[in-house]
Amino acid sequence: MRDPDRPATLGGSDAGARDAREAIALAIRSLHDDLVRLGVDRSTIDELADHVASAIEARIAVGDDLTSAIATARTQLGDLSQLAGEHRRVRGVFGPRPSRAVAWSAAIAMFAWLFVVVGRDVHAPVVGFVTGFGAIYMVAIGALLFRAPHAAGFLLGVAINQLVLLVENGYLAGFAALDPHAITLTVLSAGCCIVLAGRNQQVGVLYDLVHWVGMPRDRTAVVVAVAVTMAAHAIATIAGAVFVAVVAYRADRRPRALLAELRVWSGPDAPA
Amino acid sequence: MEIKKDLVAASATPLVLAILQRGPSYGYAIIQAVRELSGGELEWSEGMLYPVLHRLEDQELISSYEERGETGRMRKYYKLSAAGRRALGAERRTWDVVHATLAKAMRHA
Repeated sequence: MRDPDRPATLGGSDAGARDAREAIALAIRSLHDDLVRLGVDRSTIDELADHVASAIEARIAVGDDLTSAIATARTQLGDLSQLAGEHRRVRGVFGPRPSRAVAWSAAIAMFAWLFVVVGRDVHAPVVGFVTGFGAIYMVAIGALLFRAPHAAGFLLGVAINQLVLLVENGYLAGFAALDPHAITLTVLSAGCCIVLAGRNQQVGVLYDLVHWVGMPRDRTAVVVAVAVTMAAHAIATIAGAVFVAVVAYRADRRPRALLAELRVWSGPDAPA
Repeated sequence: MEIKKDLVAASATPLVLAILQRGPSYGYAIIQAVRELSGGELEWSEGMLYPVLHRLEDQELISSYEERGETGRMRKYYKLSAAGRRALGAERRTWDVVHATLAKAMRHA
């Protein structure tokens, strides 16, 4: 048997070898496109593409002509829809479950961010929790610590959320008030994005997001992740506003004045 | 000789773990190794191997890394983890019991 680690020679003249390489590249590209259409994740597509290329080279090495080598390698791969279905069943809609190292480092980064947000004022931690971020992030951190089956979905959702917050806090930190709290949050959000984007130790979640948008069958997963994140953001904001309004009403105060007193409101137009 | 699908599926995990105990390997080479070890009696399909590899990776019995192969392509290699080594030990004991029981039963059949 040929050593599978040894590259097969494509033989013949230089031009013939070049034509063969181009034909193999074309076959791999076609396979790649089919698997993308079926919603298979990037890492699995690369793996299967390498497998088929190895199979084609092995067939050529034992004397098959190029056309039949390509056809045999594709046939051996079996029905692509079935293959994609099996991968989705094992990997889930959000791709592979993050490794313990990635899940735990993301949880620590998120906890650090949450700690600063909730603990911005020792007198008002309850405001932070009622605004919902505390609860939402604790669920996400729990899912990552225990590596829940769809924990990668939390990585995606929180990555989107942190990108939004990075822009929001970055604006406050850089242009509005040079607020030290906003600067801290910007740094932490950037840290979160870097850790969350480090999945697969390659380009990560943010690449997958762009990649998924281009995959019709997986578009639902992206829409759901974005919708859940944005809905959670909106619910958190509304819940927080209602809570502050109720507390202000009971204390017979104006909400903005109350927030300023609690040092939660730190924007440029915060009342003195 | 046709080996039933159930048996092929049951032996997939210990076979993958045992092959990876010899050193890191990748999908195509693992299929070749199974074919070689079984004298061509066991034919694994890609559709069967990769879900098994991904499930074992999910269970952290094996881990993966990417490296450029001699062909110049990036290739995903799998290697056995410490948990995988322990799981392989347990699988070995199980299969030894099955094998010994079957051997005795068949001898008296």
